[in-house]
Amino acid sequence: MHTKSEIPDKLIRKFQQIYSLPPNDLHNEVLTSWYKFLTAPLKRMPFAYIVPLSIGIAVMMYLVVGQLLIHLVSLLQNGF
Amino acid sequence: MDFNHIISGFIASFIFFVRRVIYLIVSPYKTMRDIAQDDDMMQVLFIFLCIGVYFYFANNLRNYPHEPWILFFMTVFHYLLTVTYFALFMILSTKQHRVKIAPFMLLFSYALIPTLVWFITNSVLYALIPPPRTPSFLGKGFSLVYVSFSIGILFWKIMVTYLAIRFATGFRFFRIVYSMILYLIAVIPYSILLYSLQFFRIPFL
Repeated sequence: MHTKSEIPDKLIRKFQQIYSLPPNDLHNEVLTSWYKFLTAPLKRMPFAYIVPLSIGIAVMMYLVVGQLLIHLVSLLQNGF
Repeated sequence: MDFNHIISGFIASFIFFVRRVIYLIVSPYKTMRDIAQDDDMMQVLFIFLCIGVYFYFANNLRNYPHEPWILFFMTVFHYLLTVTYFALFMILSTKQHRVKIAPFMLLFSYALIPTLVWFITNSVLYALIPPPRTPSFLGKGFSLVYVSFSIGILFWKIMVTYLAIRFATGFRFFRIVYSMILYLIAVIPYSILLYSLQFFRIPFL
């Protein structure tokens, strides 16, 4: 059971954490708005966007370079 | 009792470490922001313990030309160089005389998690389905899945590294990109040198 004084302290700590840094600014309104538009969905569950994007890039790479992709995979698998 | 305090602190650090690794996938922004406020160096030790264990087991899968402990200490050295570079960059560009090193060490150690995940997955796949790949239907299918996975991990790595620099240094977008470009200008030739000396085929950064 939280006492009356605990809840504001938690809220204050949370706000201090959220506002620990000033917001990002690209020194241009258009660029800044595009930056915020593109990065907002990446803040929570970014893999919901990364996975389809990665699959799309891999398919495009295969369409462009063809069999070279298979050689690249063999190379990367030896990379560890 | 002090011993009980040490054990409970150890367990708490381990729980935080596991929780943060999972949340790094789900919400990297909030997780890295949370890590930046922390000063628990035990979590850095857990990350490097995982890396050390990985090098030991990877050496059993395929013999490295150098001992795994050498590769481990080189990874620690690279990590310290990375932390030093960004801390010095911050001191020189913001003209501050003092910098809190704990956020740098924590954030850049968590930035190694995507690298570790890729290397572990690669090693497991090497053991299960060793290269080379063939141009058969299964070979092409696996290649597509593998490249998608690698690109996904690369995006995650870039995101986590960007957040590490953002929360450690407080830099804004263009300065972060500039510092990353300068870092890569130093790292790429160094990685080629490591490859020629047969330390790392792909650097553990």
